[in-house]
Amino acid sequence: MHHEILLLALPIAVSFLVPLLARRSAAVARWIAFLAYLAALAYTLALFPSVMASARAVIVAGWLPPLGIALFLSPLSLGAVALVYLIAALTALYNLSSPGENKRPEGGRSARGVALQALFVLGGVGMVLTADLFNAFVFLEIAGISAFALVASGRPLQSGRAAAANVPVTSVEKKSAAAADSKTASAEPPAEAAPSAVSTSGSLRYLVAAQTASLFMLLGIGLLYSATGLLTLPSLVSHPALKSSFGLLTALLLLFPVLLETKIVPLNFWVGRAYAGAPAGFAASLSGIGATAAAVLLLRMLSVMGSGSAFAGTAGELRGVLLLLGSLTVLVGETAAFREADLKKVLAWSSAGQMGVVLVGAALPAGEAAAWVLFFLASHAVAKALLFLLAGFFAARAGTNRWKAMKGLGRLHPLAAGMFTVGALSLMGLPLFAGFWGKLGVLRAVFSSGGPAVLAAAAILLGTVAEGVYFLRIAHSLFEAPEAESGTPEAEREAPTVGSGKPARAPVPAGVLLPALILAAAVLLLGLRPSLAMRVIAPAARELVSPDEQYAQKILPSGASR
Amino acid sequence: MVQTALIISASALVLTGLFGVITRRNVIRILLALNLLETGVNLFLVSIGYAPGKEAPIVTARITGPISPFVDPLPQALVLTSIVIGLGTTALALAITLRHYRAARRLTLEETGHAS
Amino acid sequence: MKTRNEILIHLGALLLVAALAVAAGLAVTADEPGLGLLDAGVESRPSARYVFKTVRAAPPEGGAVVEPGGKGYENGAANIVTAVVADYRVLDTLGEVLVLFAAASGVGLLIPIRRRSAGERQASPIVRTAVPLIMFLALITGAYIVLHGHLSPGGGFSGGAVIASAFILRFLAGRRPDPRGKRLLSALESAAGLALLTVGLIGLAVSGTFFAGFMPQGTLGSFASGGILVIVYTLIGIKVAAELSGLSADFVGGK
Repeated sequence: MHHEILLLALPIAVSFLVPLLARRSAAVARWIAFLAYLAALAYTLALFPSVMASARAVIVAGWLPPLGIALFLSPLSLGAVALVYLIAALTALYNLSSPGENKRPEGGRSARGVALQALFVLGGVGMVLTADLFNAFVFLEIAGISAFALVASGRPLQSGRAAAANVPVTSVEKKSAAAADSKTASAEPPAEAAPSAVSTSGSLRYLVAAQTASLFMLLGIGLLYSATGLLTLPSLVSHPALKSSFGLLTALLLLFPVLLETKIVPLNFWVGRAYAGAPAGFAASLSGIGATAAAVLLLRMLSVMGSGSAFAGTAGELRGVLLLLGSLTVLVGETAAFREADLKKVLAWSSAGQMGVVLVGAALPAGEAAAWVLFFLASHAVAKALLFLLAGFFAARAGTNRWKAMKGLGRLHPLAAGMFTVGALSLMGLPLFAGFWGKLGVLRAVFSSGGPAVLAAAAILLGTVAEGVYFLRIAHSLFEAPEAESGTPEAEREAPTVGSGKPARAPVPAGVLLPALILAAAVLLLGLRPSLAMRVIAPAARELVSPDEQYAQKILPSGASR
Repeated sequence: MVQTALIISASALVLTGLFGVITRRNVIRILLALNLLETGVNLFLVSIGYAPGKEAPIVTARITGPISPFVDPLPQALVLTSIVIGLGTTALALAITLRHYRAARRLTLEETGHAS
Repeated sequence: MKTRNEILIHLGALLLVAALAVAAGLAVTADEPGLGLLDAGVESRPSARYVFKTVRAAPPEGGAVVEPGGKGYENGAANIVTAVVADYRVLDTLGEVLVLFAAASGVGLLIPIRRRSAGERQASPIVRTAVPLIMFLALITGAYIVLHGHLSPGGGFSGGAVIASAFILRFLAGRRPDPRGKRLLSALESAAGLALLTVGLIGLAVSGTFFAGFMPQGTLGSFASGGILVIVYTLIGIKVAAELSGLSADFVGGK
């Protein structure tokens, strides 16, 4: 019995059940979601032994690919799903404690938010598991639509005092003086806090960009289908080659939405505002789950587009283009992060830079860096989720997203700030932390492949330097002694500091502390004992490097080439 | 022939929609352009399945293989899904626009400033 | 007047679009070895196996035969597109349902609550009189389209949209949606979704794969054909109708 479909059925069930059951209370909805993700994670882990022994396909409705849709369970896909469910569970836990930003008094609307988050998780899980291109498109759309809605639902932060009184206050976002202006806010009945123009405009920008990209993928699917009559990825692996220019066009079109989701230049103009506008818990999901799942799908597609496949004629040019884009993304992402004042935007652009490194590694010929790219991706997912959750907590305490205004929070909450530093150091790639191995591995592979790839290495190194500077700046700000009395030295800002309204040592809620501890522990564990993860990553890398034996042959019925 | 004409019309719609998405300021117009883009892509998919002289894929009389008397049914199934997805996107986008108008009091997105 | 910035963007976009058109045109008409656009002619594509219902088993000698009144096909629906949507590629359709669900949930989550403005005009007598009649027709037509998706063009999505349009007409005629009605629609939507998921899980339990058929395929061309396809599409029709009505109710506002 192909019961593994439950990996998909669980989040679907959550999304349908929650609006029915959680009409009155937001907490019920969030508990259901949290428990469901935990159950899904347990189920995923239980599947590991059998899948590691032999990867297999799960068919739907009894029809075999390529005419039916199949999911592929393998070290790579299952590992990614486990990561997704881990982050989903931890984020759900974080949302349960909801440090001030996400409070919605009305049960009904909250339930919808939880349902949307479940659908986002489903989209991520689905796009990683599926072996069919159009099915991947559908899952990308599910994730996308949920993301647009959740980003748009962000609200302006309330300062500490205001949060206690539950009165919407003027937001302290830059440049949004026209937005949440206090007249509008106070005219609303108290149950409905003001919507945020940053969130809605960020969401609209993201929506238009992502939908255009998805439509390009659909065009690519159409072109591919017209030439080959097929829609499944494994069928393309040993397929007669497309004309080289036609193949290049089709490949680029197909890659558009995954490149956009992984914030690759030039498709990352939406990143800043969308992340700034997103509620903190969802920002963690967007980066930890969304970008990771899209990256895995990207790696899968690139692995199929290698030599010997339908795209044989274009592999070389494609690699060159991707190497260039990856390097540019590293530079653009890290530079943008360097210049940002909003902590969420810093983290978002930093993610873009990291994805650039992933792309550089993936673009290397013969998949030399495959294992290290995967390790890097995993360590990024964990570290970024950690950083976003803590950033949300700090922002709620400080009443603002600007990291300069978070002075002294580290002294009040040394554990939280310490974990933040752990995450930051991991992203920088310091030894002892998870990110070190991945970055080192990718750099080594880049150097050894020589030629123009060396420029990519230069970009990565420059990026690392920039990361060092801006992350240490933020950590410094956190641990700095706060100014005497309240009020930051910048007189023109209304940013209330830590002192206003909140008791001096309000403890970190368990819902923030627990996920952060688990993620930080994961970062340290991966850094100190990478071999634990390599047990799953090594076979996963083999799948990417030999798509014929390790992928196509396990999905398609033998003898079914066309 | 018919198929070439269909593909060319579809391309025209796609390119016009793309131009609109990039250049329009007003959110509603951007969404309209996005709809044009969607329609163009759907039309392209349908035209991929066209075959001259064949009928809609519903069995109303006896058919014998291997020559099929129908146009390709698969692109039609894909387009069915795509149309619904487009509907969902448009509805959501309009709701976000309403919310944006409530928050920002105007129907344009702020200028794409530099990252800051 | 357009600012210089805007003119630059327009020119840039024009150049980009023109460049894309040229590049795509060249790529598609290139004279190189290998496969290109429309190389897989309709007859030779694998999708012909959907038409002749030979996805599972190879076609018999002398070619497969499919005819109305025939029995024992792997899928008994006369409408082949419906067969593809609701049987062969049902996971895509489930995804589609989820997309619509996500969009409707998003609308419900995001739409600002509209206060009922004092001077709203009522619809004209013509509209108010005609709407109940048209609603009646729309509901019947919609139900027919949903139920006959396996025999004629249509199915759950289009039929659901037609049914929803009946309710939209009602809103247009001035009838404001009430909170209880909205809650009912939302509950119906979720219930239909859960029922759909359950059908899939029953298939898993009975026949081993998600959404595997567990009812007889019947006689092609008759109403009772296609196995669980009719159930699936009907549930989808209910869900879509409830969803789209709820969505319009959200837009029309007035709590």
